[in-house]
Amino acid sequence: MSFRSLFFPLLACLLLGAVACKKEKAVVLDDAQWIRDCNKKLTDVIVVDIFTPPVASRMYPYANVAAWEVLVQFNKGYKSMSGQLRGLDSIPQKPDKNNIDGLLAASIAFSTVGQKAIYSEFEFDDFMKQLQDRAAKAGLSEESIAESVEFGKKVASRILCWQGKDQFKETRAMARYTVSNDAAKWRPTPTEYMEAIEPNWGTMRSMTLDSASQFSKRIPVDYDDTNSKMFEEMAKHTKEANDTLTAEHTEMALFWDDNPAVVQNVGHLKMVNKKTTPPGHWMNIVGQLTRDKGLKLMPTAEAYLLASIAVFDGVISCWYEKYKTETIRPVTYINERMDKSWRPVLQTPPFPEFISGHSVISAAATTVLSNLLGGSLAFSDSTQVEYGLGIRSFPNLSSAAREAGISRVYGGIHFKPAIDSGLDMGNSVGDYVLTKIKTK
Amino acid sequence: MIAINSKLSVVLLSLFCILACNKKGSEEGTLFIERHAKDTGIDFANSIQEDSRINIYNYEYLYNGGGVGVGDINNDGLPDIFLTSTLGSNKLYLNKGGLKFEDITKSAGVGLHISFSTGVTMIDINQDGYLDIYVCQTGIYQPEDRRNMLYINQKDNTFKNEAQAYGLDDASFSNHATFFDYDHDGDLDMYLVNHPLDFKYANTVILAVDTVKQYSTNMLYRNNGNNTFTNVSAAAGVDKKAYSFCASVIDVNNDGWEDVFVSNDYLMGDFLMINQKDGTFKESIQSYMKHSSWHSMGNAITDVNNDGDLDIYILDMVAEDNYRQKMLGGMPGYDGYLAALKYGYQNQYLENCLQLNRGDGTFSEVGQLAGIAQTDWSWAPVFADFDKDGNKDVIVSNGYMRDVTNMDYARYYLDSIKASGNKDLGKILQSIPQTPLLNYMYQNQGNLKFVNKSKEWGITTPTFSNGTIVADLDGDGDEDVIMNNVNTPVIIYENQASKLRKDNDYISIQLEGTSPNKQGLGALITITTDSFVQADQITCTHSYYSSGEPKVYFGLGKNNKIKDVTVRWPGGKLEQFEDLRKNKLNTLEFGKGKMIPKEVPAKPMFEDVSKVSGIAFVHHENEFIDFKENPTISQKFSIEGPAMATGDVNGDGLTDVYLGGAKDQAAVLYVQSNTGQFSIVSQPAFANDASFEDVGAAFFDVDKDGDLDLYVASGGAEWEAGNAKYQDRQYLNNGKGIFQSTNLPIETNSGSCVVPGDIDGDGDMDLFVGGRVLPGKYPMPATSIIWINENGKLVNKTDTWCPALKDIGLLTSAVWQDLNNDKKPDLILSGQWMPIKIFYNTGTSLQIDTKANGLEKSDGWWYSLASADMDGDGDMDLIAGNMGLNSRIKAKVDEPACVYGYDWDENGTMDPIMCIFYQGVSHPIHNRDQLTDQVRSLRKKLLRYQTYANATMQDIFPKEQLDKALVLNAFTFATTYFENKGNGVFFKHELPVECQFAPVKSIQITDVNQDKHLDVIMVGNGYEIEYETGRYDASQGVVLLGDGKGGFKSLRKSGLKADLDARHAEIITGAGGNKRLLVGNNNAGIQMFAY
Repeated sequence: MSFRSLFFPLLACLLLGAVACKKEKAVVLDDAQWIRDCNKKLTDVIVVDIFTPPVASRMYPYANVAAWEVLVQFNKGYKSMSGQLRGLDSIPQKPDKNNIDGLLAASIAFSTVGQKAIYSEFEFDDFMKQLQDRAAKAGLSEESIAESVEFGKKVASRILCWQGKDQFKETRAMARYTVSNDAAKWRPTPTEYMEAIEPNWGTMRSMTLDSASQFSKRIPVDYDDTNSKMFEEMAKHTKEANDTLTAEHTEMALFWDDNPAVVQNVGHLKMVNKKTTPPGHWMNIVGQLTRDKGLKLMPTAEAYLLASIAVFDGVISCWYEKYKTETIRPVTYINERMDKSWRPVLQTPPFPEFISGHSVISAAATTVLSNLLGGSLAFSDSTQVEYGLGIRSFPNLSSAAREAGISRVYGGIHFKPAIDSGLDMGNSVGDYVLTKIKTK
Repeated sequence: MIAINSKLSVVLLSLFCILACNKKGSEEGTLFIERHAKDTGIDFANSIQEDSRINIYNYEYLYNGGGVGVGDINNDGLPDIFLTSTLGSNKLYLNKGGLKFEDITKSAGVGLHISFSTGVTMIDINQDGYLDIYVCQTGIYQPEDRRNMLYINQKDNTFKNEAQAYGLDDASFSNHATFFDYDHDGDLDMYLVNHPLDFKYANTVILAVDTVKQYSTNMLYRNNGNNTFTNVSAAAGVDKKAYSFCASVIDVNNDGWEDVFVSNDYLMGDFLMINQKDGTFKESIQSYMKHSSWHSMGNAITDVNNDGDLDIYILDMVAEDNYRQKMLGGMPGYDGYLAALKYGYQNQYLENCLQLNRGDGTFSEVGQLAGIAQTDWSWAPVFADFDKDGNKDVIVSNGYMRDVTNMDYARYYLDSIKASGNKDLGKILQSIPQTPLLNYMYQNQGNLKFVNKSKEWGITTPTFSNGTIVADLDGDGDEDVIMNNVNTPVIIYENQASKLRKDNDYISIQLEGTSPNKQGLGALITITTDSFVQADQITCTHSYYSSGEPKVYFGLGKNNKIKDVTVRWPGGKLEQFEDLRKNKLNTLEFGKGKMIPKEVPAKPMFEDVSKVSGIAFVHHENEFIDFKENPTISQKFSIEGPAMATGDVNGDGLTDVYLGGAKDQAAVLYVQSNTGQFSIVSQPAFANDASFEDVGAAFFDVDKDGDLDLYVASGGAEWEAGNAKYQDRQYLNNGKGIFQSTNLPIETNSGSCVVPGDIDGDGDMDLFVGGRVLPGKYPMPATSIIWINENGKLVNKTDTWCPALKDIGLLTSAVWQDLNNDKKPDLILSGQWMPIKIFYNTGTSLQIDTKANGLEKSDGWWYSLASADMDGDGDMDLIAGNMGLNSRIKAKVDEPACVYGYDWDENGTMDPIMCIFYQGVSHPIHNRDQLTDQVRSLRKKLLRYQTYANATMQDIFPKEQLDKALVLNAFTFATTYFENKGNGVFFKHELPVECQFAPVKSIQITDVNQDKHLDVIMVGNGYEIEYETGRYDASQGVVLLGDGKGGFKSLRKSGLKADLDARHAEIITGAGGNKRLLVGNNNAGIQMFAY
């Protein structure tokens, strides 16, 4: 080996080591950061790989349950989810050794489950290496690291097995959505006219709900009859809201857009602008809130766990509703009946309108988070800065959910009743999650 | 010393070799020599410097390049060159002879402009005998800075911009202008094509384009006859808004009035502006053309196939090679395509279109058949007979400064660059890769066959090329090419045909018309020689942004005598000229020839009598999309109907017709009256069975009671395999033409053909029923059945007669025919991904013919069969209808198309993957998004488009899986005549090119013209094919006249217009012995033709 080929890796190691050392200090100060880093890593890979909101909503809870199931074995006073979540049992118990580090094992369990879900697997290979380096820097022995990794993977393997029976694989083989010629039914929307995504998501096994239709909403107006006066009124409302936007309203719409891939066209030039999905946005908020409040490891893991489960079950309820009603989007109705050249502020997501997904998700997440962190927690959401958006402040969590909901009307992609019903549904799902799951 | 010497001699020798080789390679070998600035003196390059203001995001048309104008501005007999520049000075070069040029831009006063220059048109606008120059302007500039310029020739090599005085200083975002006499008042009017400035929704399906029309519509300027023009766009109905690149004049409907074809970029359909003869135009493309290019770029009009009618060639931007096809974005998803159709956009596909003029005002698109459908991001097509062999070749300029449709950049890299903190979009965009391309030079080999000769003929420098024109720049009697390039200097391709193709003659023609159209713009010139008829027209604009001399040039080949030349002057007068001089420029003066009367077209043989037939049945397909279950399936199997059967059901001696319905549509029975009219007879049994999809049917007397009973095969793919909805049905006739359901043994195959025959020779009719597909499991074979008639009951005897039929393939058609003269009917089968198969009848079984019978490697997508003794030698021959050759799916024996059937991701669904050869290597045909939608597990493997863009099946899947997959091949897609050589050995004859325009779905053999020789009628198109290949719609039906010796000729202008999604043809005898051809169309009405 020549000096050159030896020197540069050495130099690189030294430099990397220095960086790692710096980071490691933060870990020592707040070990909850590990769980936040895990969730943020998952979010970052989701953004690059591009996943739809339902598919993304499924990634967080399984990974967080995996981490939780390790952590509860190292932290007294917390309950396993085994027997509490549908189909989950037989969690491997930690071996009778005292050199296993719970946090490293939990992070490995999280990453192993997360890696299975995303496309860019190499990202989590790298990430898991970094976790082990951090552990080494913090003083864990080689043997201890190896044992922790092994246990983390063992738990992950059980979680993956449980996850494998949630009907996801079966939905992959089902027929895609066929557009109907029925003028009252949902049709693909500009600008990309994508196929409706996940028409069978309502058949997914939820974690806590008795059925996808448990909180099914009575349709407030006759959504089936696009010829009705009420439908027209509803469309007018969205059109006017979108046509008379204040700067604040526009900011709201864009802030809560959470469209994972907005396609920007200029003739032949196509640019896909990527950001988080709505579930990812809420996971980022959980990260920010737990950090701002200085929560310790277990409360942090608990917040991620409950929020991600609430969001996942919320999406199943919501998607069941969407493909039950197959409601037309505002842009289609308004273009065909009111104004041919009308364009909403936001790009309309490719699935039916009723019920508003963001409303359900946001309400479900804030319901459980309010329970954990307090209903009057004021906060500023700065998680969107990295995607080129601003910071928005809220007096409490539920007001953030309401804003996320109504922002869809300002964005021109929903009718108002889908927001109201969506918030209702989300609250119900959140409450139900809290009654079904005991973390302590 | 010796050593040095030997080294030196090696060097010298090599040098000599290089020189010698060069000499051989370029001076003698190739038809063209690239001439660059150092040779020609033309050092102009259309240089594009990008910055934060001037970039593709701010102005999408930045890379569209400049045009070329060629014309003799000083009347010295040498064509001079005008070049437009996007950002820099335009250039005028004076031809000094010998392919040397002098830049006289400054002294001529034609260089400067503020906005971007685009198209150029050389025209003597004031008819003073000196060429003037019209230059179009566009770009993000104030209207005042973007007015088009009209340089009036001052007759001393200087020009003055007098656009304003002429009223032609239009401030639109202009691309190009052409001149012709639309109102037949004798003078030349101007048609101007423009584009909107907002590109945001240019490629998006929207219900309404912006209503703001200013500066962005097509425009028409009427010549007032006094060197002024009036904008009459709105009154003439041409003020239509689109991203229009190119307007070409053509009389498509042969009414003597010039129409205009406009190619429009992006999603917007092309315009075919039909001249209403009253000063107005009406856009009517959908009445003339079945589909067009998705992003139409330049177009060219000429007679491509020497039939005397002008054809249209329109360019698009799809690459020929696999890598660029897979890397660059193309059409929207299937739902986006459907949305476009629903909102009234015309059928458009990503391919260059060759719209072949059928001579009666209709067109067939045959670009794929001609082999000129994929030339990458293309701009200018220019036809010329470069090798003087009598067929017009075509050169296509292509290239785009940046691969802005690179999918990895769109989806992954641009975003990550932004995320990394780079906010200067101009800079970010400069990271998009650049790929200069080789221009395409196609040799026309006749019979609609073009062959890429770029490299062989010396086109070797990759460029970003735009405006292109041909002209004999060096006066040596052949056509040279001049091309305007982005960022590299102009190239002149010097044609060496005058030296290398000396034996081939040519003739060049210009006109001397009457003022104010002395050059005869718009005249159609038709030359008749010993061996061909060929037409071309006099025009000042050609293809994209460019303008040439108002002459026509016909190559003549060797020893070809010119009979006469006919000129159809603008306004319609026909004048014939004789005694023209070969290998010279001939000037034909108005009034110096022989005026001849207009030819009255002969009455076609076939007449459409659908409207008076009484058959009002319209086949209605149900809503079902096979691609939603299998995104990579190559076609729909759910639209196989209508079933059709004919026979005399009520014993009145007249033929009646059964027509099957799609799912949820009841079949109908039409009974013929003695006046030849058809009327429906109510059939409750059919109404009861409406929920079945009827795909095949036959009348035959199953119970030997003397009347015709009916067997109907159920098919489609709407239900899972094995569903009871695939149960075939049998109906017994009560003797009066009323049918009653009767039980059949259970079978649940998705069926296709129903073919009766007395297989066991017991005097009653048995039956073969073909299996089409295993629903949801394509390409798995379906089960076919032999029904033996046992005392009026059909019994499934497939196991005893021919167990091989249970998985014989994706069957489409079958024929019982005694091929070996043993008086027993043998079975011949056709299907997709299989050869024509013969089963010989032993009397108790059917034995597959395994001897060398000439059908080896005949695997194709066969749809139809017919058999008769076509050559009168006493044995039975076969006519077999294949997919045809007009498709992006191509196959040869050594380069087969194939399909792999396997559940790659093991999720319980069959994942079919089709592969075809791309430049010698077999790759999947599907793009990455489709493939990963079908095989989702691949999303982890094919992380980027680049990962997939070079991949073969072997790169994507492990050997264990590939070994387990069902692999089916196709070696030929040509519709073929199989001549029986008498010993059961067949000889293949590819049928005429018209038979290859589309899949042949049904064949009838009959003597059409009563010359005692058997003729063939073929119908078929294919709307079932997946949308990226694009529906097959070029066939209007073929009438092949036989010579009784196995020779066939396609009848032109036959009057047969089976131009829908034709599936079945039946010949019926009408009341009084009239011959009728009945054509069953999927999802459309039934056509009837009298002949």
